[in-house]
Amino acid sequence: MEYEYTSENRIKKPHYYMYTPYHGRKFLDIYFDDRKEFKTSIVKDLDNKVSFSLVSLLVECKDSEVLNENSDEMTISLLSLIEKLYSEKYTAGDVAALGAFIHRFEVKKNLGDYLDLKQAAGRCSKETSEVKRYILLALACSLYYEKSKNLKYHNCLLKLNDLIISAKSEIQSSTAMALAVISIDSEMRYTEQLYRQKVK
Amino acid sequence: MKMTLDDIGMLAVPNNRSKYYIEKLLEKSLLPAYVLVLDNPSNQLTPGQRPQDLENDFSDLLQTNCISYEVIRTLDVNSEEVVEAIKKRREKIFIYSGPGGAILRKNILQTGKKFLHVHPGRLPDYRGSTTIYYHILQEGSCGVSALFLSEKIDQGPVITTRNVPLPSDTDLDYDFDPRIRAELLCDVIKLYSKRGRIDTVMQGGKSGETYYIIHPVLRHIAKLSLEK
Repeated sequence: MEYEYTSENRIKKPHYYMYTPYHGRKFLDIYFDDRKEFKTSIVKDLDNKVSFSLVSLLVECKDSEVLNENSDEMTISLLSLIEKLYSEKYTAGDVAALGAFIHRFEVKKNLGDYLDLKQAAGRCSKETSEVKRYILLALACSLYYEKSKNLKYHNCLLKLNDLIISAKSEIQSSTAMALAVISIDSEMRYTEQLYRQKVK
Repeated sequence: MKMTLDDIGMLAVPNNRSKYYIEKLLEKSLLPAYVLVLDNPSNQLTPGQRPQDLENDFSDLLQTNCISYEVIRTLDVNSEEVVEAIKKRREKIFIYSGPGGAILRKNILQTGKKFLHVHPGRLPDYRGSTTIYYHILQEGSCGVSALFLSEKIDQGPVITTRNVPLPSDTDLDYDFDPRIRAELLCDVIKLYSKRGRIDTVMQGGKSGETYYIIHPVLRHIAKLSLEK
């Protein structure tokens, strides 16, 4: 059995997750294998000096060329949202903003239309790849799930990470790769906790 | 004795849920006066349909029980054809068992008819998609609510809501879900047949949570938790 949700680029070919088949416990094994395989391959590609600390990665992110005056608004909003969630200085408005991002992703299966992305890519000299936005949204979902334990956020995190893994070749910078690993790690931890709580 | 309810119609796609609704209503001898069947023009499976649903057994069920029906070859509940068909009917309330994920738009909601939907989740806490699974995982229970549809997903006036015992060893999508919906639907229709009215309570707009289609990992954990 293959973990089909990451088997094709889900930016180009979204999965709608409707009436997905049931395979019993072995499905969870192949899910964990899929995540571990991604982590191993990314870590192998990364320089040993790369830190896996969310705070330092976010600082790097903000300082990078992507986030100077040429960066796109959505990336900046997502970064600001992550900062607020991480420092626990978020408001109801911030949660609503996260909800709006989730709604867009869940309904449209993308975070920006083609033109939007093309313009963003044209403006930036380095990485403004679409996949980076998904990584940032995944981190925001992860942070808010940690606080709320509302499965809506865990659910979205799982779908975003499917997409991120499926588009691995499009992750260009080591910062984005490390952030993706953090997102996958947190998702695996939440899934394991939930499984222990509900099934074991 | 079978009682045909002159005010009650049904808008249905031929799937398992629609069959459960009709069978359960038949069990209670409460029949809709008319059913508008939306059939897939491409003969391909739509979300929630199984290969056996493409056979004509839903129409057969209606025919066998002398329920008047009409078939429109579309899955667009908001299409002009559907709106016109609904508009000219005399039934005031339509039991809704339309295609998964469809949202009724102004044109059909302004026909003067009410669309009675049964949602597998306690409202307003569990709006949206696949809420049975979220209910099981977050509360260890299930809920079901009857409401009249509005333009906003699961935010229309609520008729009633109830908790349902957790199932064991059952197909949640194709057995448990349509069964709990059909049972509540029957109770609502039965009450209507006695009182001649359906009372509702408005939902607070800002309270509640909307969920999106569940990821297979969470779906597996929910199902495995029931097998425990």
